[in-house]
Amino acid sequence: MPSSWRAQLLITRIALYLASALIVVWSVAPFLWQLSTSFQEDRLLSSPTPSFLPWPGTLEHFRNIFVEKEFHLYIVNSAIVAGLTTLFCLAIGAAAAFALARLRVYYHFGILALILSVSMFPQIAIVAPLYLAASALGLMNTYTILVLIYLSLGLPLVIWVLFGYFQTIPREIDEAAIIDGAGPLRLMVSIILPMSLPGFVTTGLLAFIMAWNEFMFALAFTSGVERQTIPVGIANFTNLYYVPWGDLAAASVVVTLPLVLLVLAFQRWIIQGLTQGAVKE
Amino acid sequence: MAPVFLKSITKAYGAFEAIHDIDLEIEDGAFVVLVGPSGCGKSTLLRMIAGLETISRGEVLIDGEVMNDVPPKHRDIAMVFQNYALYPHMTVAENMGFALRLAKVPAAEAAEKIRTSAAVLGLTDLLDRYPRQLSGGQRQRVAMGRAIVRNPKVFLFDEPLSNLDAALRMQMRVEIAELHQKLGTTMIYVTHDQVEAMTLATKIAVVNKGRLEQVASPVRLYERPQNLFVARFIGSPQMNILPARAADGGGAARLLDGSRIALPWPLPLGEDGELSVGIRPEALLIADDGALGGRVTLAEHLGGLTLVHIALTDGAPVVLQAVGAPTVAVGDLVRLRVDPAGLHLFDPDGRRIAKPGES
Repeated sequence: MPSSWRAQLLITRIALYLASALIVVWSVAPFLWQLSTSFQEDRLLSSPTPSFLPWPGTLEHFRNIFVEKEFHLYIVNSAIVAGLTTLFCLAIGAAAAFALARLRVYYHFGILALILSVSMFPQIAIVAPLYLAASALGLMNTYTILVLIYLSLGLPLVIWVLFGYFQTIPREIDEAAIIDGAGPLRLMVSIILPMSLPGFVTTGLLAFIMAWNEFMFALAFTSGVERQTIPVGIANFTNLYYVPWGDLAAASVVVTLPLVLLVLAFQRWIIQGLTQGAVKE
Repeated sequence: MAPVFLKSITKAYGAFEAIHDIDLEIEDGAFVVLVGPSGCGKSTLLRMIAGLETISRGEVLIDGEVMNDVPPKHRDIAMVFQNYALYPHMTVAENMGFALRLAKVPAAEAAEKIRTSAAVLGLTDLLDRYPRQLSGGQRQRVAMGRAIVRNPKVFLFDEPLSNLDAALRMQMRVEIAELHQKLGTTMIYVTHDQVEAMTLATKIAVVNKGRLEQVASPVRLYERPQNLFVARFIGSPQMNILPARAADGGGAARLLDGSRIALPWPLPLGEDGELSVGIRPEALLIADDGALGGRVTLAEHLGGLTLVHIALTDGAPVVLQAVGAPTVAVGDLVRLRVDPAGLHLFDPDGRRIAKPGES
């Protein structure tokens, strides 16, 4: 029966394509629905038979969020907070991960476990004490407090991922650099960091997305449009009497775009094989 | 260029000693090979000279200066690693110039040094390439270029050829030997390959379990192994080692199968004293009047040479190396004569029993 294995191959292939299609639909459909919603008139959104296609379309929701709800102010706040968080996360995280991975630090696994355990605290449990501390220090409604909190939330992840990345770099590279005359700082800046760019881009993106999307702390520690971030801003759209679904969808589309653009822009850095050629594997 | 002295070097990890009390004198311009089985401590020894490992006891002197507490960059050494350890994000020229950049050598001078070093190693056309664009041999050459561009007092090589295929290894071996002739710099080279050691070294230090077994020139090491370990380790195929007892008032050695090898010099042992007889494969000759007898189990034809594997009458395996292709077939019974020049005797502790005239 020479054709039986061909039939089997065909079935396998069809199953594979079906599974892939399912995953694509599963992940993209909500976003497409949101996109469609953002272009539909309120009248259609509340009709008994909703439409998938935005027809007739409208840009009214986009006008609403930028002109009436000053959404751009939230975006600026989020960009500043998330940008600073990413910057500090990478700077501090790289130094910490480098020291733990490469220098003679006693109990470095104990330190790593401690760092990880910090991120295991239920966040809701630390809101109240942090609130008291922040108001005592006069940091309420500032970028500083948000960046500080996001830094402590993001650092464990950044340190762990970069630590793992640094560990994959062969020791002989360090030793060659040390013999060439490099001190620890030079070794980190000139050798280890350039070799870890993909790890940097990945962890940087994760930190940025975490700070960009965070809601609870932002809600608790900011109180006006001059400091509130996007998730809080979007929550402000809804009032007691009315849920503006179209505006919500439009705002969500607007804030998802920068993330997608960031990932696309850095995609070429998220590549394998940057260390290729350094050593014989 | 500089001599290197190791004085009672010891490396201890807690109670465990990896290196025991090693003394080694490396003359200015020498090519010393540290050779031994894996895990014998030879790499640790090299890394202690480089400053990558701390020294538990003893002293390392380079050019007359104690280096124990001097950081690697101030020891004026360069090292070539087994896996090359090139910087993957830098071009060949940048790899070679990294040390010069750190030492704040003026750019024009550094470029000149890189150019001349590249010319020595045939890397001139590759200066703008990245390591990932190079073949294994080229990468190893860049690693050597990175070392010679600094014109160090001492070169250290840590199994530099182990990752290359056989043909390339031979070629690079020749290149390293030529490099040493050209530069005349002191070189210390670690390998587990005794062929590399024999062909490259002016002096070989055989290391075993953290101790020096013997230090001598390649020829002397081959001709006068001081103990059974060196006898087995140096030479390919291995020396045949057979247990025996003294016989005929010390004038002969009696093997376990009863056959006697007449000795051209008297043994300093009583009748029936135990010893080990070592016979180099090329010192076994097929001859009808031979003292030993056995059956051919395998013949390996290497072209110019043939290795004949023979089981003696008690089953003990020996290897004979003959020039050309002797007419023997598997299963043949042969008689073997022993050439005294390739005959070595060892006492029960494995120490060499000196021939008359040996110091």
